[in-house]
Amino acid sequence: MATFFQQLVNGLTLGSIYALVALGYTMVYGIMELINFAHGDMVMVGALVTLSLTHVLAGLGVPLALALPLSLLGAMAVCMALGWLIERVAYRPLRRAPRLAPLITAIGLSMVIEQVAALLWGRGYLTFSLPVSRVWNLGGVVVTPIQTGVLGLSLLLMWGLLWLVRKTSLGRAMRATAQNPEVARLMGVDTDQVISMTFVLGSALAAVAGLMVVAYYGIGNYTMGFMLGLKAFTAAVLGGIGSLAGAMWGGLLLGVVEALGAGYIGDVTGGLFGSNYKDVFAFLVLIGVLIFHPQGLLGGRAGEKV
Amino acid sequence: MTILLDIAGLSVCYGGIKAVAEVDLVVHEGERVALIGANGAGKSSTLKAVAGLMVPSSGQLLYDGTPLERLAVWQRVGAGLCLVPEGRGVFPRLSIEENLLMGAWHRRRDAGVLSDMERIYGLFERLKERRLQPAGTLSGGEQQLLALGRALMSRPRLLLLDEPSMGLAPLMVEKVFDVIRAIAGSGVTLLLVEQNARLALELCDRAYVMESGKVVLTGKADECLRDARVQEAYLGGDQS
Repeated sequence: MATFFQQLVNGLTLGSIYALVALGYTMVYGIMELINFAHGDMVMVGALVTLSLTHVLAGLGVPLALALPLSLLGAMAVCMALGWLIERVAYRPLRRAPRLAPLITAIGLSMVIEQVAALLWGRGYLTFSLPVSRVWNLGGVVVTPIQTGVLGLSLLLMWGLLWLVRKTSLGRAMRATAQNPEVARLMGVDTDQVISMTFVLGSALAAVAGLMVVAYYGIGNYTMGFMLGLKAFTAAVLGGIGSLAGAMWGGLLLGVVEALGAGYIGDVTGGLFGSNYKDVFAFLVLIGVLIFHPQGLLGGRAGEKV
Repeated sequence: MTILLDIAGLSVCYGGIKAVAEVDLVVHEGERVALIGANGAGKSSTLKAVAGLMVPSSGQLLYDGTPLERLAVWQRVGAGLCLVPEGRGVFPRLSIEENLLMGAWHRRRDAGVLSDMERIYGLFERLKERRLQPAGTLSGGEQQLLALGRALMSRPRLLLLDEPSMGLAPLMVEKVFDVIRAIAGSGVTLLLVEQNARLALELCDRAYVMESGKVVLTGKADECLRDARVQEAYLGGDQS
């Protein structure tokens, strides 16, 4: 039973990171029906910028408690600027193009961002270790401060995003644009600006997710956004793409499925497959959802599109 | 009277076909102008060109003396020009209240927004009762009233109405036109596109009749009502 709860904690931690990234996919899809496959790489950029800035600041003698939040803010600024630029340069000219064009552009962008990152940071693995050795042992279930930090910050950010979308005038404009961009313009909404803001918001969340990934795993690499992006996309589809709440539940659920799968696959298959097969579960879920319930858990009419 | 909207030689192409051909149309401040004609005559396209949803292939659009091409679609409502689109275009998953607030988007920091909303709730009791429900749950007629209320929230100078009676039950059409009459009575200038020619002509001061993209007749609304050709084509023959 301890394994179960341990994997549940691990899964929720991982899942909350997926959820933050999935929100970026789902927001952009909700507002312009585009799958921004470069979004996973935004997480990588956020991660590596945070990592580098923390090292630089630590080298200058800034205490970690200050260096880490400062680095995160720096990474968020970089990602927000990059997200804005990508929308402006790569997607806006394709607003009236067939839907395949922006999709291919997204895949191309993803490659460009990865290769530029490889030039800047090299192709090796960069380490990032936070000096937190303390763990809490709750009846055999080990919880680390990093896990609680990841979970707490994710929940706070998700709550903040829901508040923004549901209660502020920007959120109202985002929902109006998602539901009917033409009428939104007739009502005086500069929909191009709203779309820009959507990219900027999603990119800021991706930067935070980037910090969480390097803090949790302790390493970063220019390709780290690829698999993470695919899984977050899976989470968004699982929850119902376009739905904010769906992205959150989809992310958490996917994380838990993956962790439990990794925890038990060895026992179930008699040691034939090990936990290194954990990535398989996400894609089994994706295939299952697409075949049996393509609108996702909260997709279609129930979901709140952005 | 000052000219508020001046359309000169407007042509609009739609997939290679000229939907509007060389239309001249003038709306004076405070006037109610009807644009009538059969389905596909180019009425809606004319209105959409004014709102900016369609780009004219030629011609000049002046609003309050300013060329409209200088204003993006979303900037026009701020200048006082508001279109209630065909099919109403309410935001189905926004609440009724949020829909109304969207109408006041360009003046969202204005303290008058809330009092305007109360005023509109005064006009439409039904909307107030259900203000927190999604607009998609309203009936077609109620959605049309909401679309009108939303347009009023923008404090328009020139209100463009595209087929407000379309798809509504007769009783609801009457209600919608009562509201339109009240709006016009409050001094808002009106350009009304309507297939129900009798309703439009009875409400308006002047009218333009369009046929296959061209203006074929223009004059005072009551004269149009008596015009033999209009009666024949749009008012169902020998009524007088």
